[in-house]
Amino acid sequence: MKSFLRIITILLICSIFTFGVVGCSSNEEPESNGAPNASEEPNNESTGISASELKVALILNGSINDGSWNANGYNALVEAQKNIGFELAYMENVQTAEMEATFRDYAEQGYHLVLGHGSQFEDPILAVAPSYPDTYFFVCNGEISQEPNVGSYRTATDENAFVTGALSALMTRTNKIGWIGAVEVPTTSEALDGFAAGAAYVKPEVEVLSAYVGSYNDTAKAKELALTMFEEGADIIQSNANQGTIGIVEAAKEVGEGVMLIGNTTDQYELAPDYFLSSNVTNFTQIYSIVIENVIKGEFEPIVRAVGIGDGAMTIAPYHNFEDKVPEDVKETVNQIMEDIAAGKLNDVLPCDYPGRDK
Amino acid sequence: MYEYIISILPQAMRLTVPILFAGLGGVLASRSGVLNIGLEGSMLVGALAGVIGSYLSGNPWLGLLLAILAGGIIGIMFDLFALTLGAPQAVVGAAINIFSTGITAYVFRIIFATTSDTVSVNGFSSLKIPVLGDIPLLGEIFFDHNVLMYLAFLLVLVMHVYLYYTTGGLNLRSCGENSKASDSVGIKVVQTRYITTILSSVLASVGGVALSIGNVNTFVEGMSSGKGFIALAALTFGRWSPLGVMLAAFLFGLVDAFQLRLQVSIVDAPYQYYQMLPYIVTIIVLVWTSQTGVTGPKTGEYFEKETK
Repeated sequence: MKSFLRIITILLICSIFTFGVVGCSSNEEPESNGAPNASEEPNNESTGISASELKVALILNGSINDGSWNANGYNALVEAQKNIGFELAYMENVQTAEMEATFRDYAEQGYHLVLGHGSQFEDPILAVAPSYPDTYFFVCNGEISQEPNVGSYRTATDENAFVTGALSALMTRTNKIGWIGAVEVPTTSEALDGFAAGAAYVKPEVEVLSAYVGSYNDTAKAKELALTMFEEGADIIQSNANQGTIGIVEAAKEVGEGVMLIGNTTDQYELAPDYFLSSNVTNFTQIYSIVIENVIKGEFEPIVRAVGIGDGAMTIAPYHNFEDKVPEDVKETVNQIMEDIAAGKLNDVLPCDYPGRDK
Repeated sequence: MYEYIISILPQAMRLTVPILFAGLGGVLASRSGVLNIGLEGSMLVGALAGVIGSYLSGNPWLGLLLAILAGGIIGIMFDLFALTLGAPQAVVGAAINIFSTGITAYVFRIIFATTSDTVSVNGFSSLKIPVLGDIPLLGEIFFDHNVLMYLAFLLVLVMHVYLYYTTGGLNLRSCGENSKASDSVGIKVVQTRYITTILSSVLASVGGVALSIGNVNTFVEGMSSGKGFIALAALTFGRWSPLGVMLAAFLFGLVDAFQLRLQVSIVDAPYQYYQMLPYIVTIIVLVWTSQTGVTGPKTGEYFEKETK
């Protein structure tokens, strides 16, 4: 009896592992039919590679259905894969302790380009890259570069947040606006700085309330924070809270009429059509396509580059249900600010220093 | 001041409930001699099962029922490994936590097949108790919440009476004090532990329901975010008793609510300081109230009936 149970135990444990692995990672077959522009002709340069042979791996720190940062990165690569036609693998929920091993793993398997979606991946990449000169490593939102095979693009987070900060300040009726972040990391604190700077730029008397949930997925706490802000008199909240956004949406629904939300990374309007005024949208497809095309052409750049509104990598979402409620002059001001940022005219007002931004 | 109290206390109560459910589960398990650190995992499974049940039926009560069943299954898994096969209880608990993270993400994606949209299901709405709910101040703080809140505090009372004023409760506690002695007087130790562990997992799972359909009406991967572990802290802090755990969980909830408010109203300090508060307060209270010689029930031991 006992040995029978032992065998059952071992089987159960095996099945647990299977579930765990299936739940966390998967390989995607390349879509051969979706490669209209793939450079099929042999490359002249020795370092180039044809699109159909290219193997790309994406490593994410969170889950691909967080409806925000990681979901957006994953969807962007799937989109880029459809357009370019490379082979894609991804690994999600990679925690700090496993990062280095994960990068090593993909490099060992002969992946040509390994992407780390977020600044958390900087150190593991720097540690791993010298051992694998034939693999390119790229950090989205990173600030590292290393000859010959490490590069990163830095999203100019404050630009986008500046625009929604200005929009919120123009739309608030209480002169109080809120901002909720998940955890304080460079991208969130820059977004907060940009948001506050944008609000101050158009309407200095507006007060910005800000807070962090302290977790990427604590929906309950995010909800309580939002309720507190609404109670304190804020009528617009910008969410930078990843999955906590769900809690913020729920708080808005509870408070009801008169409050508005601003989403982050992707157009989050569908979460609550009656409450989303707009969202910060980061176009990762654009960002990743540039990198992948460069690898195909054999022109990978081991540099840090800032990408923002001017590069078409960032914008704000349409107003959807609020289209008629946002006054024309507000729309014009917002558009003007976006044009000015793209043209580099507001570099003095934007709070952050990025490589390539002249102050 | 009046307004501050009236807004912070209901908030504290809402933050308390999930921790309280899981903590009460912990009381049952540890009092019978089982160390169940799988509470976090049970919570997560319960949170998902609640959403699935409510999604399929449109009725949050059926969501709660499904969560109870799912929690029970997790409890049986724990029992099988730890109590029948004698695997170390801490290891089984940790395995359940890891297992739950994987399986909830997996099942959620299969059922809702979504990467960026979220599903919204029917949840428990706020239920104001007649008469009591109309009492100024107290009514708003204590009697205007959803049904899970009342259930949690009712359970505290029921468990207190059961554990300390009935023979069954005495027998249960004796299993945690000295399993051999209990066995010698005819108490079925393994059977008792089987039941308490299943119930503890069920309670934690109801705590998960309070997080999902009792709060945001959807499921988010990893949404228990450590509350099961906070419940373990509340368990020790509350001296393994229902009333103690209630006070400990409420203290966590209260300081957490206070902390959230401080963040919003005072901007100029690193937010980490505010977030430390619940834990700092715990340490201070523990130091203040600690007595030498007070130890909890003996948990984690494998009990095998001697056969002649």
